[in-house]
Amino acid sequence: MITVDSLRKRYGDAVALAGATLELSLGEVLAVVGPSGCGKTTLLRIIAGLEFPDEGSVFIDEVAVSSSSHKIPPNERKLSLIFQDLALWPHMSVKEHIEFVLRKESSARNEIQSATQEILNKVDMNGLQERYPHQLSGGERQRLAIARALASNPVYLLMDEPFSNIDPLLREELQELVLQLRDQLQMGIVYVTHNVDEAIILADRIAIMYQGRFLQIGTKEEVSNNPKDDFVRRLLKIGYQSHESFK
Amino acid sequence: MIVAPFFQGGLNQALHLHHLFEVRHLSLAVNSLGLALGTTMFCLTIGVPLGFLVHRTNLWGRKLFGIVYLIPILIPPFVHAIVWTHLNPAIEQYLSMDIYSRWGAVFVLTFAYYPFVTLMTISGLRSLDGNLEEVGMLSRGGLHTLRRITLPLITPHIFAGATFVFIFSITDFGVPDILRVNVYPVEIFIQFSALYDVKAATVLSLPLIAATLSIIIFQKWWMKDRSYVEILGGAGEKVRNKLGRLQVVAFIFCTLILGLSAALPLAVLFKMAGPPVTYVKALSTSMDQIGYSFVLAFLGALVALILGFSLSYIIERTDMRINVPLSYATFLPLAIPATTVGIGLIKVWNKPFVDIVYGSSWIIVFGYVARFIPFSTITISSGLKQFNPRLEEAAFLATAKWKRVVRKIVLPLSRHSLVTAFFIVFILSFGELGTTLLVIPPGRETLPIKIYNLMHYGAEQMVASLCLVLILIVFAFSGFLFLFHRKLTRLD
Repeated sequence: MITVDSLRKRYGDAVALAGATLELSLGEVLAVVGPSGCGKTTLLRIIAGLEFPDEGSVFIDEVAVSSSSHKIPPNERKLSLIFQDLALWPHMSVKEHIEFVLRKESSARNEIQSATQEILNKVDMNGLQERYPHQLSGGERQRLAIARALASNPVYLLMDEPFSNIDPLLREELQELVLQLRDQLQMGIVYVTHNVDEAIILADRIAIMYQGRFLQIGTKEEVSNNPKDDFVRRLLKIGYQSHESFK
Repeated sequence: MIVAPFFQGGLNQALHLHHLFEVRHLSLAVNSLGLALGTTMFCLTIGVPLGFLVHRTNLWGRKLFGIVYLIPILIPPFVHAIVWTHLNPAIEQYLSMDIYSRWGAVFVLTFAYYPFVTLMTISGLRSLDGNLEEVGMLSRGGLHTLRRITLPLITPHIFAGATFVFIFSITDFGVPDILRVNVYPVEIFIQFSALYDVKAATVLSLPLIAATLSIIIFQKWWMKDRSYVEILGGAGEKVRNKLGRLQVVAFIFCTLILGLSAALPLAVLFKMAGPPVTYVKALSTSMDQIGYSFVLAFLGALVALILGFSLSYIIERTDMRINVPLSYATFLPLAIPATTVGIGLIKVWNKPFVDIVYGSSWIIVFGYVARFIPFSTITISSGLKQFNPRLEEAAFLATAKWKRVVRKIVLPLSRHSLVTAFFIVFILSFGELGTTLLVIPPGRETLPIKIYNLMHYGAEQMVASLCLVLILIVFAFSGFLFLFHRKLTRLD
């Protein structure tokens, strides 16, 4: 379980997180929804260990991994992060992306090769091993980012609006892939988005974030049947309208 | 090495500040500042239009001009001075100007340094989002867009080029020394080498350092909130203006500038060198100096590359408190005249236990590094800024070994800037004169030192042929690195 306890983070005068608290269980997809600049990305970066909180803590499987004075390196947190812009390495082929993550000092070459193959099978990228990011389509790049994240065999997956800039059909295909992976691998997934529509499709629970804190966290039904305030009501209304019209 | 001379003698140093207030030094200050400001103004006048014409118009032969304008940078400034002194009778006759004067020095330095302004102007134009200009063109037409959109957006680049020119001109030793213009770097050399007065020499560099640091600090402060040109990253089509009836005027302007700064120096050197036998003689008697210069410049560029990368990485990619002071300190060596760097090297290494460096060629390598590391750091920093830090973060999610991340992610992604940094430091080191003159071990000679010495003996043919050899080596090395760079680009 990931436990985020009262995280606070400021950048100069700007407050990014103002006491954010939440929990994520294994096998669960938690969608963090909120407008741009509400602190969603900062939250993920602190959970991933790429930034320090000013106050508060993060626990992964009951081990404290982040606080203002203590930090466990990102690669020891049993998690992986898919960035909004994917952050694919332009000088590395598909195979090299996966091998970079897999390669440890003791690993044998044939083990790495078969593990790479297995991961590429999972995301349906066979035959593209030698291609570079600029030679891939938009959807293939997204799949590569997912494959790289899976290569470290994470227990938790953090996704920072990875499907925000792609067409609706491709998005639906990739959303299905995420749900498949969740079911197959029983990972806990934090899916950050500003798109309520997407949150409704993917999430088991939804966390509504605004100005650095969570206004409401609950199942889709709990949140939609009993919105805590006007902001949540408005946000969900827009999302459900768009969801229904899309259907 | 750089600050060492300033800490010799403790409080006594203050007593020597009177050097700065002597009447003679007023003329030094006027000469130095006048030289630097004049050169900067003329470089802006020539460099900005040239950059614009080459990159943003349908100028005849613009592709050729776009390569040839770089040639003057590859010719060491003191070689430009040698060429123009040879042409002095013609200049006196047709321009009524004596090259051995302040204006003469401004004239020579302008032709040596204007490409820095052109280079930065083109770099600004390249990174500018073409859509921004197109929006302006739709509403107000070409000239208005140039004045209100293009020029303001690339001003930070132009200002950076002007800063380089100012610093190079105010700290230059070779050109004013050859043209007998008394400026601070020359006076520092005289005080140290002829009068053995280290304190006077050191104190005399203070006004230069103050002037240079002021402009660097102003430039860094002014550029702080103006990184928008890089952020836009050159998206959109580039607007290419049609010159129409101005085509002929623009073509003559470019031909004249490039003729005077690139073709003429080479032609004059060929004429001065005379028959082929001179080259044979020059080469046969200078192979040691050529090899020695090459090895020293190569080592200097390599050490500057390693240190420059380390500094840039700390500045650009870590949160250490030292970052801001370090980013300012990076520019400090630019503010120190070559001769003062030489004095610093002597003060640091001419001591028991470390004098093994003082007597060796490493002192020259250290001199190159001390003088030119800012170029390495600035170039690599700019390369690091251009790729997304998320690419490294993605790697740190998989491994905690920063050496592996640097080797597999950062170095390959910075390779263009690394090659460029190596090239710049190599070229500058290969033609370095001011520091080498003071620290060169007995019995050794670099190629520029040999040329400088021969010049004082009046061996005109040998001087010209060796200048051509020096330029040829620089051209060959530039060509090699250009091809290597192109291969890297193809791999992208």
